Amino acid sequence: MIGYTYAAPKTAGEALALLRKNDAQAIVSLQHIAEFKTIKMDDAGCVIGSRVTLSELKQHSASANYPALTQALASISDPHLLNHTTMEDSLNASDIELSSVTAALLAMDADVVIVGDEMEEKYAFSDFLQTDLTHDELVAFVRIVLPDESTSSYENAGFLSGSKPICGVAVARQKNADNTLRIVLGGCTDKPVRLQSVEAALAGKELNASTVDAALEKIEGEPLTLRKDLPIGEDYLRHLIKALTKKAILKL
Amino acid sequence: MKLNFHINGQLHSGDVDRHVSLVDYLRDSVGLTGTKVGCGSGVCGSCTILVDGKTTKSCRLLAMEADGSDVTTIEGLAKNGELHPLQKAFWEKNAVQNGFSTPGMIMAAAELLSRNADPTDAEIKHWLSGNLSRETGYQQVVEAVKAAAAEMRGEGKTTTEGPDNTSIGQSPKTRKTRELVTGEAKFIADMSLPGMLHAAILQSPHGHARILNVDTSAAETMPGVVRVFTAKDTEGVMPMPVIWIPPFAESHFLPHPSGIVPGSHSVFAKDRVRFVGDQLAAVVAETRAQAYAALDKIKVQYEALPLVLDVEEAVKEGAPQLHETAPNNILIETVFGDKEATEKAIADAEVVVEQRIYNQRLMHNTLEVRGVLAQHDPATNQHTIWANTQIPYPHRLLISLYVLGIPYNKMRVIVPAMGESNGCKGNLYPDTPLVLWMARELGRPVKWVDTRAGFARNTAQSRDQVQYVTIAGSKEGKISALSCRALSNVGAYPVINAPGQPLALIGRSITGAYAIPQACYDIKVVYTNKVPTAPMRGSGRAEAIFLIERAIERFAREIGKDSAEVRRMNMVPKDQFPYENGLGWTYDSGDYETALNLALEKAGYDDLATQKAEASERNKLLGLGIGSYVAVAGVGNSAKMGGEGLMSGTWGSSYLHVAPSGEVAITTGAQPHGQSQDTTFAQIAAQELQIPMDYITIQHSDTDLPLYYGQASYGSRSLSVEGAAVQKACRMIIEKARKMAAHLFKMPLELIEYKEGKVIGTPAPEQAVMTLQQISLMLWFGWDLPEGMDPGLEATSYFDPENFNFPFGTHVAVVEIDRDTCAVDLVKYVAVDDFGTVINPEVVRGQTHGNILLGISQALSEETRYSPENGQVLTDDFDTYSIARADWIPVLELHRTETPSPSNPLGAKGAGDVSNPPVAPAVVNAICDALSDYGVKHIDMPVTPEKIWQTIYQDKAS
Repeated sequence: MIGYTYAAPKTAGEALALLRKNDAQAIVSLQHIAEFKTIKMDDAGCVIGSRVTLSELKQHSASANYPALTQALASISDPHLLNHTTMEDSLNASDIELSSVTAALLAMDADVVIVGDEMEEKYAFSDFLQTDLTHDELVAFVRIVLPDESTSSYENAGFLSGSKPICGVAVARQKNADNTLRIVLGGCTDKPVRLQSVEAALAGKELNASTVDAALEKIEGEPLTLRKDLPIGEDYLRHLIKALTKKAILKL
Repeated sequence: MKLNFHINGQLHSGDVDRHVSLVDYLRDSVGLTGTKVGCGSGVCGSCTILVDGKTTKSCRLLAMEADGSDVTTIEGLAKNGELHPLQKAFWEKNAVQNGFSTPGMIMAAAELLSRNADPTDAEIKHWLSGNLSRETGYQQVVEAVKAAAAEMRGEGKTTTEGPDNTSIGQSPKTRKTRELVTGEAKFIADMSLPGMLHAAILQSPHGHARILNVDTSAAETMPGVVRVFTAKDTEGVMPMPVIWIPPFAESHFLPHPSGIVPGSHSVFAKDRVRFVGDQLAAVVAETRAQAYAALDKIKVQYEALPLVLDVEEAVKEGAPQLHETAPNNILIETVFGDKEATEKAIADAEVVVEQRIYNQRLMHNTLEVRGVLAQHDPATNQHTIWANTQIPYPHRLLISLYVLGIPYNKMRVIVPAMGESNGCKGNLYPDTPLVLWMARELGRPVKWVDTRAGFARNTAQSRDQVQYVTIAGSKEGKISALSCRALSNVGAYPVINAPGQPLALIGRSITGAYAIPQACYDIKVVYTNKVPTAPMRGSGRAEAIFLIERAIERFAREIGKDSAEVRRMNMVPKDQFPYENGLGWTYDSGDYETALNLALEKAGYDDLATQKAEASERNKLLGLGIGSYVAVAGVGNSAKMGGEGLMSGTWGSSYLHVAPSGEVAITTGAQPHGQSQDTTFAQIAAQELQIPMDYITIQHSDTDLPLYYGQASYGSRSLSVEGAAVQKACRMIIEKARKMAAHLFKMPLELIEYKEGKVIGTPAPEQAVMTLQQISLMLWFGWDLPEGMDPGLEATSYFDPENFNFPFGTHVAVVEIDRDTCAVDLVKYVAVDDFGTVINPEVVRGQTHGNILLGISQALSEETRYSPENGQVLTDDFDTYSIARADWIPVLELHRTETPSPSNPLGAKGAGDVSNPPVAPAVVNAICDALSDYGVKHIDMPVTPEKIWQTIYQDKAS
């Protein structure tokens, strides 16, 4: 106990100043930084502060614009988890409990905004996952572009275990000429991964049971690294991935 | 660091270590023990509080994270002595049984109602899916939340007042519930004594190993450590006894130095560990954290030995041998029924169906782990333990006589408020006498409360039986024979009553509700390197009913007949009672077919084809499953139990005392742990004595109470045996009061009537009348007594029923299976049960919910898994051992018929665990029905989506 200091700065600037001291004995709480606790909507999309809880996000009208996110949040039933998980927490790609939100953010091509010493930098979420923050950098916001109506979805298998999703699939249709899909698998992999071979197989195609079934054959070629600590066998898991992906796509 | 935050509206300041969780801080530093610890990993929800109004699992938050916040615990919910609407509603709707999960449930619901003034059932279940309830179920909880919401909207009123009518068949409010909804009740983990030390116990990391060396030197120097004990310290402590020795079976028990009974495991393993719960050392320290920190410093050298976990492997030649006294690892081997005649009947039958069934290993997994607080007073040599045990009187006897060798009269056992048991707290574990022994050695009170992971290794588990079932009969559907060859996995050592479950409870029950001319049960009880097994809710009857209900379903499909009709054809007819089932039970009374028909009608059986077609359009496979049952209950006739091998009387007992004030105190031999005997026994006494229930106090949970012996509560015996003893004591009191009145009124006894709490001389009812209180005062004075009468209005009663009782019924489950994911959704559940005379319908309803919940959970998800490499229990938390959550369970539709039992004057039959056995077969039958187009005949439990997928897709593909 002796030797630790505790601080709860009110602004990002104060927090960054404390973090720059790089004091191993200092505990800096980011709970009270107001600018990181807001959700803003504008014509371009939604900006979600890094300290916004999933519970606050779930209750905010903005989330209704993002079906994949809404459905991912709905799949988390434990109110403790919703109340005590922030947007920043849900960017932790290896946390299986939060894999639904992570998958949805990646499918919707969210950006992550980092602040540091007189800098602000925007990363695509997929790039952010490859980035290590330094001790004096903070995640400030997550930004999601406003999509067309009902162009994303999330499906998961929540019936298998105590409280953790084992396998979930988020799908979002992109605003481009081919209306290509971003299909993201989460929970059963160490990090959420895009099923790019399936995305490619469906590019420009009408989405129905047979086109989706045909595209799902391509999954076999995906270099998926499946978690080994799941309570189900790999064969069934691979079946589930297909079944859930199909459900998620056909729900669009 | 320094903390400043509000707790229940009061500013609180304190110092806290940065590693301390909020729940530990609240409980240990602030003394708010209403918040419970169930799992320590944020899964069970017992520790739920509000932080800034938000549902928070306080085991998952560091205390320092609460700095500056506003914390509300269960203690802060009531305002100015007025219970919160949720607290009142939980009480009113019988959403509280043992109460351990209640504070967390209420706190979580509090946030829900602050956000949503009128939640639907589905919203409530979804919200509460982070809060587990093991024994109470969820339906009454949902009802309570809705009732509280209505009151908070100003549309209804909950109340703490019960109905005026408390007579048998009514549901007055349960007693001792206020302290459970307010968090004031003290469970074992909440208790402390001045000068108390804390113990931690080291378990083995190996399922089977030789112990080469135990080095405690590093642990002994750790901060706060008072002593470290190992096997070399406990030479004088005897091993646990076994008190169930079937006289009719070949058995291979372990020796015990008493020479009176066989033995079981020692408080510390000496040279070999045989399962991962074997204890090696104990640290006693000033704090719990210090004790566990030091435990990590004990170094043990092992030589791993070959393991055997599977019963069928264990009996093979060359398998690792656990005990020298048990060749081929067989503890007991015997046959119930006429094996030869059964085999002949099978050989002669037109249709024979065989099925191998594995009734999987379960964990009782009570949300409250086990714990002991012990104290020894050297001045008086008084030994006292507080423990969350179902069996305080047997603890007193077994610990004093067979383990520690101390005077019986210097041993006292007290049971504090007790969380769930499910049966696992009905055993004597080595930790319990060890804690008492350590307290005596150290001269200070010692407390030990287990961890969730420790519980998974040291606390008895259950079921785990392999069955080879053969059912035979005619093409028309008449069953002529049933045989079961079974191997039961008893684990590494026998628990005190180990033979009971795999022998009589299954063996005499396998014919279920049916008249089957020839039946036999051939059983081997086998040692393995798993945790010992003990009875669990539904014990024995669950294994028996599962096998017969699966077998009859398989048989009906084989002959192409409606399985309901096959059941009707073979059920014991209602004019055949008492009915000898050929395996040793005499069914007392019943009308099995009526219960079956009612359940089918309520479930929409006639409409099944339409339901299936409709579901199919939604890509779902719908199936309906039936589970009919008869379950022996009401242990029991002492001589019959003696014949089974139980070295104990099983009579009910009661001591009733009417004070000169007219207050009635009844000490019962029952041991409540959620069954509301405080209420139901008072209802019985109030009705018998014809006085207000408020005059009556029910006492239990302390072996120093004025009762010779209490056989306790297990196997659905409390009401029909201990309750009957209460009724008998009341009648003895009335008889004595009448005799006293006859003497005082100078009238013949036959002219003295007892009515409305008064003795009345019928020839002069206005003059010759005295209240029970006046009579008790006259007997207190004892100035003028009839010849031969002692003073005092008191009675000690014993009740030993001539027979067990046999509750029965039929449950029906309807499931839908997703064709793509194979997920199972239980969409409808109907139960028709007959518990004979019911004292308090709401109490019985609650127990039925608990039974059904466990059965659903067994059918769909629960299974204890072990590492085949080292015998470690892999399912040691609530993520890996998945138990049913609120949102799995549909509305459970409960109905009752009422056929009184002739086995006791109350007409009562057991209720506590008997309606569990039909649940799992109903659910599995429903799943197999849904999959019938795929040719599926059987899937072993738990029937997971993965197993369904393998059965209908993978197996077909291969």
